[in-house]
Amino acid sequence: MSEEPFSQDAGDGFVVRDDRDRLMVAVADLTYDRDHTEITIPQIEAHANVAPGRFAETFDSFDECVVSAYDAAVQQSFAAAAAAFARAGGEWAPAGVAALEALLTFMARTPTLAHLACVVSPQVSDAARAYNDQAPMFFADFLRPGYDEAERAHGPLPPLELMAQIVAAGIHDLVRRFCVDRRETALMEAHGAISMLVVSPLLGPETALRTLREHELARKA
Amino acid sequence: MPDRTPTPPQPPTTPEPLPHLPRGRHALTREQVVESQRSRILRAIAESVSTHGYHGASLSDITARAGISRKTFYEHFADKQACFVATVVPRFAAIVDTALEPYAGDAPWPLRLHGSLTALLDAIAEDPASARLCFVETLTAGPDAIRARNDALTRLEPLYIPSAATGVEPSHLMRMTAQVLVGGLADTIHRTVLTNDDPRALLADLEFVALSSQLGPQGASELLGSRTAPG
Repeated sequence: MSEEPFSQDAGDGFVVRDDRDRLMVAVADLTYDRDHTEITIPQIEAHANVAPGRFAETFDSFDECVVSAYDAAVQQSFAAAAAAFARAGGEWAPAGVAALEALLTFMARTPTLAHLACVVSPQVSDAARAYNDQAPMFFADFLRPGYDEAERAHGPLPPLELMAQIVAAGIHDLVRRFCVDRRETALMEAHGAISMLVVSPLLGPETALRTLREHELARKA
Repeated sequence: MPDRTPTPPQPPTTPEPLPHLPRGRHALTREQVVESQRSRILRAIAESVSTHGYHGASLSDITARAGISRKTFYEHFADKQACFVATVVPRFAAIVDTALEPYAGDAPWPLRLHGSLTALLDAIAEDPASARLCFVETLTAGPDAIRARNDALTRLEPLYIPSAATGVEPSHLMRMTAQVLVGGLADTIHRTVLTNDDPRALLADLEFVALSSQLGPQGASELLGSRTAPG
């Protein structure tokens, strides 16, 4: 897998860099409309426009391809969110709201990968299910600045890992709802609610609502 | 972080034989025969999935447990997923009903939320097999099973909307925020069921996240602290 770091606009969606990425996107595209058990390696290679035999050179199994696709989508989506967070600068809450918007924008731009991650991967294998269960834990680092700020202001909170798990799980579940209803491109509808879930428990609902309003005003300006 | 390696499904203790129809001529009506077959199939798939996981539960195992043929299975259900959904829906409904019962009444929202979360987590602790089917296996069984899970969880959303009991129509933002909170609750329960931990240990933290989403962290801490304060 390419080790190049990402720095991209979430509006680009998933960036394809090589045959590995082409094959992963092909699996996502094909499983969007068909049961994964009906898909063959030649079909994947044809859809990816790569040479026959390339799949076997790249992945040990279909399962590995699915887990790799999920991982790649997480890496790129979080890179896009991190880039948006850095661009926003300043306080954690507005930067966090911007990062969440980038995350949802990325998934909405890449609906087949979002669907693969949230709906298909748990059906595929134990490895994919295990990755599915772990993926939300990437969220703890994102919450940490807000968590530290809240603890300084209000005293001890539940453990960061548990709060991150609950918040990330909520986001994951909501995205899954959109995906199973084939509404991935409408994911931005969830931005307000997800921002509330992230910011309110740490900084309060008034701060969350004010941050959302200011974000919307800035976007329209 | 502590190791959270998921544990495999636990096989049941010596299973009770499923009551089969009497052989040969009997006085049962066709409706009674069909109902008997259906209930045996639903019980069989629950046991098979509990033992082997959804993907490991084969039609051969399910039909053997139910004492029926494949042909009879397909007379009742289009496929394994449809059968699984049919067994999960009433189980999930029963768990949600248990959570909603304490929510009725005029007590302040935080107290009703506490009662509901307590009842929900107790129900999960007392029937881990059903909890696993509802919160874990539904995610692996395909889109229809996920939708059935979503439909059940939607009934819990009013728990997270303080104004719901007053008849005030919640805003779109409040409703969707409640949806996200319920999703967080469900996935957290999912992890706990996977690791065979006691779900009741989650109560305080789940309550904090729910309360703080409405009251902020200080309000939630004060409320929870006053509940445990001496005197």
